Order: sequence, then structure tokens, then C-alpha cells
Amino acid sequence: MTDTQFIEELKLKSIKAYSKLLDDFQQKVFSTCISFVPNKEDAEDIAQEVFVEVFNSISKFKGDSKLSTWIYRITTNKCLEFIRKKNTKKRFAFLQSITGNAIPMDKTNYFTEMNHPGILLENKELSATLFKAINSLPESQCVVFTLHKIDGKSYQEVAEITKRSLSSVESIMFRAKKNLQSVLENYYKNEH
Amino acid sequence: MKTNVEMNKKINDVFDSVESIQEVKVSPFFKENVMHQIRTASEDIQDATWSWFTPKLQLATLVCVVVLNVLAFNNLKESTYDENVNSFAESYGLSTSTESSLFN
Repeated sequence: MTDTQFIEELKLKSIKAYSKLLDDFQQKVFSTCISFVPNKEDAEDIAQEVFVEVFNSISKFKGDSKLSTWIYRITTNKCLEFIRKKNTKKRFAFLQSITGNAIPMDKTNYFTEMNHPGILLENKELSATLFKAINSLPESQCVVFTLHKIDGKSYQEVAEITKRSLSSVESIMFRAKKNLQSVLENYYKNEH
Repeated sequence: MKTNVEMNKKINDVFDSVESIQEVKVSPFFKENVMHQIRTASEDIQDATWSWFTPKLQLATLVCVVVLNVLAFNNLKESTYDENVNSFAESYGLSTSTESSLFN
């Protein structure tokens, strides 16, 4: 079956085609999710949402890009949406605490409560610091750094997913590394 | 100076920790869970196709069909044999009643 035929089958909502799609992409989508969200349960929930979104929106897929690129774009957006929601909840809890509401404020950060089976115990603290620092970056830098450094995608793939030029991705990556360096410097300076 | 060196080492360690992250395998039940959700979504779409045809609308449609049938039946019953013959004669120019003469 060619790619075009496969996409047509997906558009016809063929259960067999979706079964094949899952065989091909479940691990890849999950890996991208857990690169953004270092919690196995949450990453699986997001990955499930990605496939349901693919099922619901496949008619909107025009074929301008590869199917895989389109799926990774949905995955990235879903992960960012999840992180934004988590950050809003934290801000809301903080506001409640300063307005004298009785609900106790949760001082921990989502990225310090990791449940990532791929991170060795001895590296857990370092990785938590890194994830927290990445989360403090501007969204574009966070996406490019995560997709390239943590998920292991090439610059070309990152450029296609983010709809940017290769040179733009390289420049964002350079700025992301520089910003991470300064975030981590501040973090360790305050620690001492 | 020593603090700076220590700090740089820590920062490098943080960056290097990326390399040691191992691949995590997706749960074996993942596919089944997603397929279940997809099947449910598929059934919802099928249900939604006829969801606009509510029982009220179904009853109104039925009444319309019955009324139309009754009207059509009455119409057929009213038309008599003579009317049919007359209309047949008129259409083929055999009728005498509608003929006009220059001498009349």
C-alpha cells in the first residue's frame, strides 16, 4: 500500500488503517511526549490524545508535509498545551495563596516530580534540573531544544515540524543553549 | 575561582545528563486503549449523522406523508370517466364543444 492509499484509508476511518498507524507510530509519538513531559502516565495520556486527534482531524491533512511530520506537529502542540495547563494551575494556586485563601500552596514544580523510567536514579536530580530549566525557556527554544537534544530528531526534522528554515532552527538552538547556560548559572549561584 | 570551576562542572553534568536518558517503552496496553477510543469516536460520528432527525421531526414527516397520500387518493377518486374522455378528445382535437366556426 502506498502512502497516498494509506492516507485515503485513514480518511475513510478504516479501523485496520488506524491499527497499522498505531503499530508504526505509537513508540515514536510516546517518545516525543515523554521528552516534553517527564512523566510516563501523563506522556501516555497525551499520546492517546494525539491519536484521537489524528482520527478526528485527518480530513484536514492536505498532504503538504509528510504524515509523520503532521503527527509530530500535533504531538508537540498537545505537549505544549499540557505544560501550559500545568503552569496555569501553579499560577492559580499561587494567586490563591497570596489572596489569603486557605488552600495550601504547592511549592513544587511539575518538572521536579518526575516519573521517567528512562532516567537513572543517580541522574534524577540533574535531569530534573535540566527539565525545569528547559521549561523556563521561551516556547520556541523549548520546542527546538527538546525535539533535537532530548527526542533526538535531526535539525531537518525539527525544521519541518516547526515550519521553520534550517538556519532559523540552528539559531534558535544556539540561543536556547546560551539561555540554558545562564539559567543554570543563576540556579547554582543561588544555591551557594 | 574554585566555585566557578565547580559550577561549570555542575552545568556540564546537567547538559551531559541528556545523553544518559534511555528509551522508555510504551505500555503494552497502549494500542488497545487507543483503538477502543477510536472505535467509540467512530460510533459517535455514526450516531451524529442521524442525530438531527429527532422523534418530533420523524412524526412531522410521517404526518406530511400521510396527508399527501390522502390528498392524492382523493384527487384520483374525483376524476370521472367522462372527464378523462373529454380531456382525451380535447388533446387530439376530436371534441365538438370547443370547435369554432367562422359562420357562427
